[in-house]
Amino acid sequence: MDTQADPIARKDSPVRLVPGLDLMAARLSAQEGFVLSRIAGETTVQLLCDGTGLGDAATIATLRTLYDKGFIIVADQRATPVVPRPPAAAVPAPAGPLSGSGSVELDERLGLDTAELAQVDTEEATGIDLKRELRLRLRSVRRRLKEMSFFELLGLAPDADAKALRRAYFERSKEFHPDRYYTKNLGPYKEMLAEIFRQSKAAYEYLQDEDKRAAYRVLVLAQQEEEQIERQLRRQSAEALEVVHLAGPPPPATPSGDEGSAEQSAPPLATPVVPSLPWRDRRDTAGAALFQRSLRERLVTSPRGVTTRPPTAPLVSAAVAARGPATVESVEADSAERASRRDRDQARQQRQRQQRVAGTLGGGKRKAQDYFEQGLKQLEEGKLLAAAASLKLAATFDPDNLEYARRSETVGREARASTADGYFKRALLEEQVGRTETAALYFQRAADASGLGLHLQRAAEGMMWLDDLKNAREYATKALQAEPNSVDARLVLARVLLAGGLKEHARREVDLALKLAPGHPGAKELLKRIKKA
Amino acid sequence: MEKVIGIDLGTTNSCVAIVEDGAPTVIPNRGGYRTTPSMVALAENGKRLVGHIAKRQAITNAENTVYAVKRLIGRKWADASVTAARESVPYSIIEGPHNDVRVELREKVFSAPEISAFILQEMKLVAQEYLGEDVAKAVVTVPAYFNDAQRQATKDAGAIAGLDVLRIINEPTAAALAYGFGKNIERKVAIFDLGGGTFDISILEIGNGVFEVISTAGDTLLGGEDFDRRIIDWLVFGFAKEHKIDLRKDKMALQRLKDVAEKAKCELSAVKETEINLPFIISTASNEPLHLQRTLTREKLDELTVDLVERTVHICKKTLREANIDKSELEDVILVGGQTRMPKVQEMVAEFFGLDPCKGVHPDEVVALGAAIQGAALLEEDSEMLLLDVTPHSLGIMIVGGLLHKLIEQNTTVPTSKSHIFTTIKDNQTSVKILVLQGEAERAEENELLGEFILTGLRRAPKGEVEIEVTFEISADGIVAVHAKDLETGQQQSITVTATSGLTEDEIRRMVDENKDYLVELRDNEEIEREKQALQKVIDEAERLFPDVDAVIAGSDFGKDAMSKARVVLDRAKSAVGMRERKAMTEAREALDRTLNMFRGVVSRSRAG
Repeated sequence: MDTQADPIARKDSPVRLVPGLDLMAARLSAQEGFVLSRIAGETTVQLLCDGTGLGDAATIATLRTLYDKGFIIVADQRATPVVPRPPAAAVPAPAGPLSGSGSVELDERLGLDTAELAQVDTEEATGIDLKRELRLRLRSVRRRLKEMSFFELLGLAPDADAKALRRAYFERSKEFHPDRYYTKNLGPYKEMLAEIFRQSKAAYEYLQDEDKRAAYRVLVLAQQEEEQIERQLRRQSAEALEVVHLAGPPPPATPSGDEGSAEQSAPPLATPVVPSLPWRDRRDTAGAALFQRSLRERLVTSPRGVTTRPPTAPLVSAAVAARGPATVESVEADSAERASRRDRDQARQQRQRQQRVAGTLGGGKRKAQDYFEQGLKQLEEGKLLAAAASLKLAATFDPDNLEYARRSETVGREARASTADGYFKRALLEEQVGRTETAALYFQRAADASGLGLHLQRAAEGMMWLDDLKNAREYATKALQAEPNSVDARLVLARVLLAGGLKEHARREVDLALKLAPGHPGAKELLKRIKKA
Repeated sequence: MEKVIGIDLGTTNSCVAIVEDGAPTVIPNRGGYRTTPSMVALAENGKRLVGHIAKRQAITNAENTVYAVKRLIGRKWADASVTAARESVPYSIIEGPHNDVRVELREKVFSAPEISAFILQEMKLVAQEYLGEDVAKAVVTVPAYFNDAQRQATKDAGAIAGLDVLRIINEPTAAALAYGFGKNIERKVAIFDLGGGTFDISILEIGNGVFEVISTAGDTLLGGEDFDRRIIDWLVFGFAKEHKIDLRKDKMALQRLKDVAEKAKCELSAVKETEINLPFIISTASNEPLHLQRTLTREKLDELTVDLVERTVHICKKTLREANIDKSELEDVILVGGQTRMPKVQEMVAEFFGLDPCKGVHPDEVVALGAAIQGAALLEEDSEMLLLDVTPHSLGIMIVGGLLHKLIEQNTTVPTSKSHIFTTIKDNQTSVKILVLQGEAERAEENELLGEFILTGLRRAPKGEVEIEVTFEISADGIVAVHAKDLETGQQQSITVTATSGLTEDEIRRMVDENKDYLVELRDNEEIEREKQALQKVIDEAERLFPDVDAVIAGSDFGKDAMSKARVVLDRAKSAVGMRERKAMTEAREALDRTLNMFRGVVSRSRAG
């Protein structure tokens, strides 16, 4: 690290996270984590000083520590991604309806695991002469290729016109076309470049059709809106939770209490005690302990394999990345160890936070009411997702109000159905485009959100495309539970079982299906296949 | 940085260029000329003569002077172009051992790539003398419509000449690179390239240093030489009428005619009429010398060649239509190739495109400049320029019925890859032969055969059951790789296609007969089945929700109406399931999907409310 030049001291220096940084493994103090969480894409030191509320000196000191530890880099202008994120995006979006425009940056903070990072370090010996930063970027993009929408693939705002589309494609080509690295020894990156280029090209070709672009835009915008609302909800809920924590000893949390006891028991601000939207995680959000436990579970146990990441995983890690060092270690870190890391600046931060909390606390009920009214208004305006988020917040701020809870529940359910519908459509679209793996991901999301039989069936099929038979079986079973009399559900399960080599089980399902619908052609064909296998 | 030259290997003239200090420059030859005739001769003493020297002695040594070898390179002996060339050139064209084409000079036999190599070597020498250092790397251009065999043969020629050919690029593309180089422009342009032997039309999108080829087409047998031949024919027929003597029988006379025709054609680009004067062109049987003397007007030339010019316009029209481009989208049209100097050509181009052709580029030099630019862009670390090139011909494999199934369509940007699943056509078929073809014709044998391989060890099963996934991959270098995979066993076979000019159409036809057993069939049934399942799912859900929805909204007139409409859609979908017709099923499903959405909305609202 070049500490001599000290680029952090310059306030216009743009800093960014080291691409592919594994936050799970990073050992950070709470304040370091907090500052880290404020860095969105490329963020200038000035913006960070303004945004952390720690004061310039503390912010810069923390940034320098992060820099020295190798978690952040001062972005080299020439090496930055082609679509710079507008600085405004660095601060959390304001409440209210969300505009769909603005550039979408490839978020580099997601995707790479430690094994892959280690590989990046060791492969230098093999004579690959690409810059480390570029290699990290290529691996990161390749990793998330399947998840990204066509707009994200091209770094394009969904409302872009034909000209912007072409420009974006040209920019991407300049970055990823293998000819750009003609003289380089590319090793495995040759295929990565070609793959990324091919996908970008496919995106470009698909979006060139005005009608297709419009249809795709509608779906992607709806999802973007939802994700943004969710991020917002996380942020606000975290604040609400903080009130809860500071107000009384957790658990269980109550909205009333005095702030005097807060200081020692308060978790560091950066600890992401964050509830999800109800349709993401149907666990109740009653108490802080539960949150922490559920969080820990989600972090420690990676529920699925690497390639078949559960749909919620990117969102969880997005939240983690946005909020800071969500390491198990930091959650469990005892207060003594934490205290030893704190410096005077952090004490000041504590004081500031207390002042802020004191301000919010009295207004809990009022805030709840505000959110409730906002939610009803949004409902009237047809903004189902935003309404669900607002009502959920109302219920969080004032858990005793049964009316809030009831409305939150019903609207939440409705929003969930609509979200699932969006995911399902997106999946069908991606399937039609030929991106089956992407389609599989969205079928899965749809199924997780709605629990509808059809969605679960398609999710099961999608998991088969991904060769994830364990999950395929799970979804197929759920599909059958949702619709016990559905012949199709039974056949999907049979197909999964057959694929897993469980011939007898498969056969039993087909027999049952044929009992339900004698002479069903699909069932008969499957039976034939089972016999042959 | 290592030096890389760009060579425009033309039918009649060649040109070499280099990028020096960021500026593309044409390198003049020893005589100070910026282009060099693409001519190779073998002198009496066995010495090889290339370029201007060869051209100067062509009349006296016509039988041993090769020109327009580009019309022969990578071609098969039976090709129409080869037959045509045999009738019109004074040198001797013979059949090679692999059904390819050779030329015989003073009892020595040369392949077409060898002759081309002599020209490339000369261009390399020109560059080396100018630079005072060795040059080993080059980008060479070919007509856009050259197929793989012709490109490969050109690459071979480079290797014979001791050049590492970094890339073969298309002439019109190269012209576009030279046109757009260093300019900060964002526009769609057409390149109209009428050279000595070939015609190409390409449409490119230029923006921010990126050059995207959108579409390219052409005719490898239409060029300036055809215009010359029209003049020669006119002279020959006129002479025959007058003297009852066929001048074409005399090779020296033919060479003189060729020279004078080309000269007259060039003059008519500047003046309205020209004198053609060939004294002592031939002697009568009674040894009486005869002279050829005629006046050719520009009007007469236009009349003689009107169909040739119209052919170019026709190809332009077709290209724009196929690429779905409106003429009004084009902001510039660039003329490339010496033949575009002809006023009639310029007139027709301006009329067709509704644009005055761009005057900023030199039609003879622009291609070599573009080649040099691409060479530099490949070797430079942070080049501002990127070419997104396309594959000019479709690629596919032969399927049942002797048809070509295209996997990669023409004008697809490379690198690219595409897969498709095929299946066996016979019971217990244990192997399939994959014939890799290039071309646009529906019948497999009418296309170029690039290569073949056999995938064996398939499971014995009834026909249509074994699934074989065939994947085509084209790299940025234009190298084609084909993989076939037995999806059941995972067994794979693959080849990297290196084109050869080794096979005749007859042989392909014979192969078609022999290999009928090996053919594969498209896997359509599976798609129908999938569509059917998707439709059935939607129907099931619609039927499930129907009573609930009916209960909620049937009360109102509007609701009743909606429900009866929904019933119609549902019934139609049910009947579509039985038809097993994919399009009908898709339409029915989409219609029912909309109804179903309405249903879901009603149900969720009623539950929520």
